[in-house]
Amino acid sequence: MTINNLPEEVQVEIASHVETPFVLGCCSRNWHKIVNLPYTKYRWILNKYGFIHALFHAVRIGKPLFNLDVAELVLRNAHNSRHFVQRLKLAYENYGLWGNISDDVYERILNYKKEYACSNHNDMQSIRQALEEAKKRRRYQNNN
Amino acid sequence: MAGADQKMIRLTSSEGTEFLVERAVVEKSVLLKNMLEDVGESDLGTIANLTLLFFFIPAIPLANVTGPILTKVIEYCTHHRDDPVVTQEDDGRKSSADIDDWDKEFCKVDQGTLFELILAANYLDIKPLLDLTCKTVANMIRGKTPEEIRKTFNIENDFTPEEEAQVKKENEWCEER
Repeated sequence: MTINNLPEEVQVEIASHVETPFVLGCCSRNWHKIVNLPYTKYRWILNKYGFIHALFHAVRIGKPLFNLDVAELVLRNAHNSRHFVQRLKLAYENYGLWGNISDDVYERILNYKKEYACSNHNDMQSIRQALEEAKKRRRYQNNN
Repeated sequence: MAGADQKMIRLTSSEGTEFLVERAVVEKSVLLKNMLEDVGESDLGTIANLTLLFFFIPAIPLANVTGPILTKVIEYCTHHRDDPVVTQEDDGRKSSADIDDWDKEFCKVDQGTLFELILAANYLDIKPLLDLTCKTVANMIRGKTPEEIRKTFNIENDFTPEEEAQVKKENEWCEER
């Protein structure tokens, strides 16, 4: 039995505990694929920073770690501070400080915000909706 | 002799070796815990006499786990039998260096055994053991270059030189800032 024969979900589990997964990703095509899976990135953030601070650190580290798929996983599963999300939105809208987040997430959230004018009282929900809408649009674009 | 409050469960490894284990220890495995709950209390019986138990209680076959690995798994579960169940919502911040001395000693095995333990923990759904063994592998990777990692784990470099240069450039998403 070697590390190469382990099932993919176990390899994901190992990669999510590695201090610097990008080094592991440089070893072979298989490990490159494993460390770049959204679920591996999500698990890595949780293992490293915990449920409470996952979103904060994902945004802090930014792209290419924090893409649309990882954002969805973090928002859906981790503990997210409503206040932090509100601050993020403010920074995004007023000062354009979200440069750290991948353009994919940035543009779609912004476009969705323009179109649907999210309520200030339900920011978490609006971010989730924006991400869902973004995913639908991306699927639509890919199909065409 | 097992007391009535210490129900024993029989487990059979892939080669047919039988293990008699306390139910509380067996239940560290979510797979076996669910299996035992599905079977129900009446089917398990409360036989205190071990001889009778061997005759009347059917063993649970674990076709994916060998005897030596099952021995290690039972050793781990026995040592951690009183540990509280950790839920996902508990602050999951877990450093890979954060392993206690007994666990470190437990994981001092050859690579083949370590990967077999990972597979067994994954199959039996023993999350703390899976975390421990994966952390141990992660610690073996810590501070190594890709070339050293390949050498340690016998990973074949199947990148072309161009791909390798590209991957190094693009793949630095988890460098601490």
